[in-house]
Amino acid sequence: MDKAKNSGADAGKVVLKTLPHSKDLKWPMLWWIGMEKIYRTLPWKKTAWTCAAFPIELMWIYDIFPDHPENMATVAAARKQSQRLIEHAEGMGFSRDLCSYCKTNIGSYDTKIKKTLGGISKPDIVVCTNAICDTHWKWFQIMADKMNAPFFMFDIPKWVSGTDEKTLEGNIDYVVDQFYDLMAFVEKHTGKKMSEKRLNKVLGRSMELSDLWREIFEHRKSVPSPYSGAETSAAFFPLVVLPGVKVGINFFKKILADIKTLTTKGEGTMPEGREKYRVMWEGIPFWYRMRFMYDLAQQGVVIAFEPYTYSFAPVKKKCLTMEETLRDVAKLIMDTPYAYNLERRIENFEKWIDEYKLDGVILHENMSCRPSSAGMVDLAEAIMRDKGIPVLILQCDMNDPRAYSEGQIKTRVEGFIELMEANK
Amino acid sequence: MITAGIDIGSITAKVAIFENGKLLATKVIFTGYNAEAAGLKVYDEILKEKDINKSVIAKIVSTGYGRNSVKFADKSYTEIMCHATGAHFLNPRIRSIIDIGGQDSKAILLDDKGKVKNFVMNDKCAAGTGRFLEVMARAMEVNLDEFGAMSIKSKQPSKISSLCTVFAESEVISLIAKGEQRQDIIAGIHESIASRISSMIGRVGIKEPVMITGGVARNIGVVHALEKKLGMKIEVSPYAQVNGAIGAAIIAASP
Repeated sequence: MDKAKNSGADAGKVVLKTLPHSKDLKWPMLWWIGMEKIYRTLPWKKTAWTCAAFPIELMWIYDIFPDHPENMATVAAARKQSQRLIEHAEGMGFSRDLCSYCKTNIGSYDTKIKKTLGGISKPDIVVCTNAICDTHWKWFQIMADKMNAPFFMFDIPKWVSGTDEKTLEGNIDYVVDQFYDLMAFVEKHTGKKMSEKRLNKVLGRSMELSDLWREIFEHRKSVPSPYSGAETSAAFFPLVVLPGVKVGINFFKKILADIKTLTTKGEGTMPEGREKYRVMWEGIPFWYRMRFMYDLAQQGVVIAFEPYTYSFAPVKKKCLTMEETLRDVAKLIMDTPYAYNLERRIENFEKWIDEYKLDGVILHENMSCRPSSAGMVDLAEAIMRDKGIPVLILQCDMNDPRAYSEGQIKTRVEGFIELMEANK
Repeated sequence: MITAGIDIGSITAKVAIFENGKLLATKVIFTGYNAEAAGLKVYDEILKEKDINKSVIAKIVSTGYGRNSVKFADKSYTEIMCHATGAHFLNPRIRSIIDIGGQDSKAILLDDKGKVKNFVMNDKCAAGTGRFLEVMARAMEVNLDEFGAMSIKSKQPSKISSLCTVFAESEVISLIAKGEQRQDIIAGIHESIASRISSMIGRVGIKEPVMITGGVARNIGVVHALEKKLGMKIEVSPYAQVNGAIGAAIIAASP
């Protein structure tokens, strides 16, 4: 896979070195695929559709397999299927302006494409939240209707600039109430019961997985960068669907050990002396064209930090009671400074620019994702003003290749590199 | 020292020859379907016309969308850098550049040394570019070179609200069918370009004095519409279309 990604039009000069254990990502992936088969075969096992920002751990606690339409949409894009699926959904009447994950999912379900190409099957229940994405709500509702599957949606208030403690506490109560509604929903439709023992085990592992990812990020502060966004964009998979499961922890431990070895030797992912510009990539990657990140390397650019994968590993607390745990989880779901709190977003970005010694920032203004794209002009202005480094806003889309224009993106990126060079 | 700058755009290929800080010659041809051949052709033709031997050209820099297809160039730079260098050479006071080319438009902010501070480009839609004007000229059955002069006669520009080239074309056709004056429709087209460009510029924050470059700068109607929309005077580069090539030739001469 790395060979293929390193062989784009601009390739030939710089080959990114991947970590020795990066290929071990196949184990959590195979585990996930195998588990789905088991959960779908055994009649007492159940499956659910879930979404980003949904506390996936809850599903593992209930012994329900969490299938993930967005995750499968990225698989479809990486396997070059997303465009035809999106066009299929548009042919069904869904607007061109709708989210490309949503349309890929609708297209893949309707065309019944193979799992290996990003296909997805009907679950026993559909559960979702509008925590980070307002499209989730209607998208999952429509699909639940279509599949005739029971549907539950969490309504999550936003923790924006100026939200006071009293409002926050009230909002936590509101979300925790919905947790209890969810429990009743799950028990009713799957017959599964909550087990406090399992809850503690799953949350403990989820915390460990998050902690490991953040520790990996600590080592990414090293110069040269040992681990670029080109690798993390795939490697963070366990955080998306396997929080609370051991197989992801084992993988992250190996990655961490590899990184420590590299940084001790003072080596990076780029060949010696080739790392010229360390940049932050903000937003969802172009899943249909992951080569983009490898192409950047040809010009000495390494993605040293990306808030997107980092945001999947928040600090999780060990709580003593179930009520306390639910309140902590509720707070975590509401807290998305990467999208809904511009002041904290700017504050975080500027801190990361210093910590990761960054020379520039690329912001993906994603046609499919309003929450992550909103505020980007203000964010860019603040960074340029306060940190004096160039910021590039790239208008594109995460899953729709029709939005990607080779020549235009190349000119923007090269112009951005010229600015970084002049700024040195 | 003699240097050359070659700018391969989506519609035209341009070349500029520089000698010791002075502009010797420029030339423009259509790019056609083969960018590489256009680069070679425009370069060969100017050398022939000016009777310059290839061996005396010390360095060649290419720019524009076809910059990488100019295989004989020593180096390539983006149009952003080259337009900035060209504009700064022509008027060192310039702090902002609006460049409207065949397939894209951009706004570039410069510091007092002519260094690029920031830039913004149109999204991948053709509205607000030279290609958009070409489509409109065809719909209007007017030669594009007459667009500018016709539009400034307009007293009441038509309203073109669509942001899409294809939809704007059908809007124009329906305005023709309604019997609106040709100059009013053309003025409306220019205003729609100005609206689009001004909202793009808003993202970087324009600073005066402003220079307009690129082929569309030759259209006085667009320049007037932009001045009206932005509420400021815009200086038209005397070498609007070859400004990027001039910048490339200057960069080629720099150490």
